[in-house]
Amino acid sequence: MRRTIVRLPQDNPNDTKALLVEWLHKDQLLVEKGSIICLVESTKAIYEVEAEVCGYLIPLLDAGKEAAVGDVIAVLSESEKDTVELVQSWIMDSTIEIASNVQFDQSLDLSLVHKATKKAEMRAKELGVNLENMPIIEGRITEKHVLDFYKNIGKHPASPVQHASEANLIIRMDVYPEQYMQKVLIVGAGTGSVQIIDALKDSKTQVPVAMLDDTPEFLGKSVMSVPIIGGIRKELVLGLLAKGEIDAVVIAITHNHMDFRMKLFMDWKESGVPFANIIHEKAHVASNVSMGQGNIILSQAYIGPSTKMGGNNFISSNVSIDHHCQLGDCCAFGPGVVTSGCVTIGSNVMFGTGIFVEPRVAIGSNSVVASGCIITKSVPDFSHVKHHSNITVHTRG
Amino acid sequence: MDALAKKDDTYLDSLRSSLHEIFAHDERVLLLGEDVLDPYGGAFKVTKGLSEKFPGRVVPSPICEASLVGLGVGLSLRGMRPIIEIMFGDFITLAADQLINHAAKFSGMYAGQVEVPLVVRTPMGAGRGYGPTHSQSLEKMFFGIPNLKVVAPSLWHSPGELLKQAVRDNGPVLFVEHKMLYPLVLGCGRGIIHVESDSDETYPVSYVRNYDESDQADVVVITYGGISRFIEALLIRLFDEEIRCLFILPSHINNRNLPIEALQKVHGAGRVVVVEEGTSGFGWCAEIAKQIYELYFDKLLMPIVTVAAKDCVIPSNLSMEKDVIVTEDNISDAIYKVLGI
Repeated sequence: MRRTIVRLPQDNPNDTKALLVEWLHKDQLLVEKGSIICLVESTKAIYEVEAEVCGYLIPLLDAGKEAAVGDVIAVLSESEKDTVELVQSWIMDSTIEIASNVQFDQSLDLSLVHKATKKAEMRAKELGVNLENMPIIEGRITEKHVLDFYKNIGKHPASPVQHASEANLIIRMDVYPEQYMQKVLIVGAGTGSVQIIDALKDSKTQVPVAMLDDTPEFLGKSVMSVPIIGGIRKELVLGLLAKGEIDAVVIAITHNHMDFRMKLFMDWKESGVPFANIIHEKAHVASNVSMGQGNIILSQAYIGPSTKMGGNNFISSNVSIDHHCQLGDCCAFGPGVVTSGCVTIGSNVMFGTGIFVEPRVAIGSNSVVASGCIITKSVPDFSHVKHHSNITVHTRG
Repeated sequence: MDALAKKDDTYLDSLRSSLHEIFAHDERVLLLGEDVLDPYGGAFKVTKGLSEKFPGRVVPSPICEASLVGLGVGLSLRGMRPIIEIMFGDFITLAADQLINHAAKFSGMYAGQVEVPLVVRTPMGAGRGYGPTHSQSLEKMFFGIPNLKVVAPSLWHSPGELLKQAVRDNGPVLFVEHKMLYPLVLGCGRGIIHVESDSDETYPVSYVRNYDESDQADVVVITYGGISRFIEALLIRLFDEEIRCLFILPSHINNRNLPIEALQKVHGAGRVVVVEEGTSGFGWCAEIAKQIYELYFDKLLMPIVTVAAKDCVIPSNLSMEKDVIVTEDNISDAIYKVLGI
């Protein structure tokens, strides 16, 4: 039960005590905040004491009696059932500590205390964090909460989607409000997913919210705080899209499962599933580049000007696809694949690592290029490009 | 000089005990004022016990502020160290000619052949509902008068030590006390509150903050005198909001240059609030802001926010008075404004 103490105020520096003349209300009457509750006489004048809060008045000093400045003369209680006896024993028991210069007890009205501290508000404003998007915690939101949230913004579930009905459409950034983060579902919880989560680490526009994987033991676990919520099922994905829990999908499964990747992409795309492009902020995509959906372009990769590419291509770090190239769908590049300008690559082509391609070479669809090849002439579809070298391996002696 | 107070002394205790010490140490010191004799001991009790202890050196007078200060000027010209008490700061207007055209001028007009080591003490300030002519902060009328020092002890200084310094001063000092501060216990560092003093200065600057030395302030508030009564509660409230706030309290308030150490602290924070109790416009805040802008314009993150009383007559009615004078909430609002929230 909340009780506010009323103390005898100091009228002037000369008086250390005063006389209570009369109470202006009957006991236990509900008084409004600001109303006069009693009259007090000092050596100079009779003055009025106001109620600091609304409450039931319980006087503790009889009219006609003197009290010292600072003495408790009444209590304003929040309950009409409160009595003088209860209040007096409460005062005895309480360890209320009042700051030396405060003359009225200010019991804190908690509804007035804002959820976030002012510093947290300040920081949120600077960083463009919407406090309403933050997870609900006990106690106040502090500056540290805001900074942690900002740093790890991908680890927290995002706010409800405002455009659920449009989730099945091709992704258009002009449809989303300025601070909206595209919620990405990652297919495959292997090493590819880690690369995707890393690529989105500092993204201000995309956040990985969930993963799918067919390994039964993975269900309910998470990778870098992104939870694995089910197996790789189209119906599940369509359901999540309809409910607005995800906006788009990306396939993290790579080289070893080229066919699976391609089939999944084609099938789901036909059913209207939108795919997200994941581009690391340290990748360099030059001018006039066009691409489809579902591409993954990792750190230090380079796509030269006026290159066109399709969708669902996995481009590892330090891959360089130079200017005026053409790339189909569903290809996979190991690290360190470097093409020259005007190279044409079909669909479903798998590249190893450390490969160089000369200008104006065409590499046909469904091909495999082994690591270390330097391709100087075009190759047809369904090619397997290997090179023979004199690298030998002996045990050191 | 121990610029910070003894624990648990009130502002009044510090002044009163200091007066006794001053009288004991220097025979040249006299006090003149209205109602200053024991047993009454002055309207605010500052001189209680003095006339009994030092008979003949505490001189009561009728209501004549101009004569009181005039007598003070004469006494100081003749080698005494008089302290003149003006009962309410509002009445200082009656002594303005003596202070401005006599006390502050003679040393200069007579090429240093004479000195006027005069102290005029008076309480300013509102908050008791004493009405328009008993609640003002008129010290702003005496800023910018050459050779006249205005000294205002805050709750975070030792008023007694500052008074001793004013008496030692060879020039005239207008010593501005505050009626709301008299019964309050002097501030001291405890819990989250840290207090420091700039002891290199003759009239020290006090620094009061709610964060560790190793941190940087989010905001610096510069103020003096009676406004210091809000500092403790404000610092606690701001601490709960994670706002690191530093209050800078000069005591020699019409110093043409803010001390370097004070300015350096301003420099770090980049956000400044200046508060005075006087009416807004053409006052202390404008001067302090000017000094800061001249030196640190490019270090400021926001324009300086100032807080002062409303530009109108102070009402007698307590709740109406609150609407006009500077309150704790006015200061916290200004702090949030300069922080951009």
